[in-house]
Amino acid sequence: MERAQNIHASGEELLGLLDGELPDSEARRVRAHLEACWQCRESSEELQRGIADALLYRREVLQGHLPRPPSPWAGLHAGMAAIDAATQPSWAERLSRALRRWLPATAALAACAAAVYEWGPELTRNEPAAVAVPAPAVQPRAVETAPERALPGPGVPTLPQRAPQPEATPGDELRVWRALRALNADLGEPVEVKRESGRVVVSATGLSPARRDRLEEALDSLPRVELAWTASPAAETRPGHADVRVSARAGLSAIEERLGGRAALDRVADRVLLASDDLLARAHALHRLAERFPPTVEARLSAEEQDMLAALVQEHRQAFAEQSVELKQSVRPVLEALEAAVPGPAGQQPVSSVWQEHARQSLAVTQQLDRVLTALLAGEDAGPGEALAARVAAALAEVR
Amino acid sequence: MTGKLNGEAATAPLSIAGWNNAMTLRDEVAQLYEEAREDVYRYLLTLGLHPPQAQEAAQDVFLRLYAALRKGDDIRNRRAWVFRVAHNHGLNVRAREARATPFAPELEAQLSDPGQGPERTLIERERLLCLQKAVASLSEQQRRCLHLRAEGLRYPEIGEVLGISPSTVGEFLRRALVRLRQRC
Repeated sequence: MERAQNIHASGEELLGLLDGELPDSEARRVRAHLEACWQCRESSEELQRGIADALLYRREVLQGHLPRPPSPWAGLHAGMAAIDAATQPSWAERLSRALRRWLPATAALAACAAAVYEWGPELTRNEPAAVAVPAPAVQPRAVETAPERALPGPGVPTLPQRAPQPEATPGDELRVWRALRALNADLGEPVEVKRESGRVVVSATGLSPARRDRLEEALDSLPRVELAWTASPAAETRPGHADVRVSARAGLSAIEERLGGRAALDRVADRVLLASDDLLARAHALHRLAERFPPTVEARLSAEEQDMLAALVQEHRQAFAEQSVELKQSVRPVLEALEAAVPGPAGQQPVSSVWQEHARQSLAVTQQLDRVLTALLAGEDAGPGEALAARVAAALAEVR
Repeated sequence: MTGKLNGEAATAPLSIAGWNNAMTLRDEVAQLYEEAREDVYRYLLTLGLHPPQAQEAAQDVFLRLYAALRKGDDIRNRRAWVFRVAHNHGLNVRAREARATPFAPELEAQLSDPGQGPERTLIERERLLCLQKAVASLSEQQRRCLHLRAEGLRYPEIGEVLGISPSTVGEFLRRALVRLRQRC
């Protein structure tokens, strides 16, 4: 879409140009605009000053004041040599097979020496569970923390036999949620968690291989967890407002005029809808936790698990609060353009002190807000803009 | 073939070509390790790992890189790969030890202490303190984007690490930079 050169470049475009992230045609356009527009050139220079500040911070604050590494850095070569030795499968396999047959006790040790400890993005579910690589030279101290895979004892074959395990508990499921939280995988990604047949089953559809690998890496070390990936042609991005285009409605022309043109309206609308998406994702995440861990289940968790759950809930609530502030700020210009009352802090509904109930309320009000925002900005509602704006203001006030 | 592999005892007999490849790869990884290990270590500290954990994790990440390359994985940008894996590994370590408090260096206290950097002027110290507070006031996502961008990752790479789109990365970076300028 051609844009007139007298419409200012957005901050995102300016930074994108500086960072070489714009597609060529957009870069050309923004560069041409910068030649003409002092204001945008100033804005770009201000961003560059921000970058200089960030680098100053990195150099003087972080490099200057974070503690030095506590031990001398180990050489990598011993570890790399061990990896080289292990990636000679035919030799290792032959040797370990032979030894396993004839000398059970030493077989495991030889197999350990021959096997490679592979963890990380390249680990697939089909490989036999890894064995810790003998790389004591790399770790400067004796291993106190448990490695991600325990070294099997003598006489145990390389494929670990899983002893019959107890049933998966709500606490086990909670650990999965915590791991997903750490990867931001609980916000609108198509990941499902449930307890089934004594296991915590994590299933996901249409994840990219990279994302799958990351999730596997995080979840592999958790007990009684099973992963079920389904391929699908669906894209990785979650459904949102990305494709909603602000249409030219009579009600919006007033906003367009006040904001300074169609491009400005587009930018505001994108920002608002993106913020609403984020808020909704948080509300869903909280709601899911509330459903999986109602008060009865929560009461049965151990004290440590209850703390874990409280921390997860708190993290979401904190983010929800921050993002609702951002959303309210981003909607402000729209409401002002329509001269609707800017919402005050008080809402009509009483807020529950039980977090599960509050989560349900939050989801409901956030969904309502999302509906009216979409109606206002995407032109789905045929009603007059002012009345809709009043509904937006009212809905915003309830989000807290 | 006897021990030419850095003085190790004879190990598996590699072919000459395989040996050459492995040596070149080792040198490359070893060089990246020299160049980037402190940056990775510090990045892991900002994720809340304690110094010994951060150092161990940093070392592990480079070994993982070597293992991946030896397996034949096609890794275009090794530095970005290293930070991505360090980020995930760091989060795993933190998740596993949720009970332990995350590492929180007393940066503000250090920056406020005139004894710490006598060669700096009061104005410089105040500026750094202001920057530290500004960074601390960013959202976690904005902070992550800032750290990773400062380590040289491009927007799509940062997006891969954090599970967000490149344009969202751009937006978070912009907000972070604006915050730094507004506050300081």
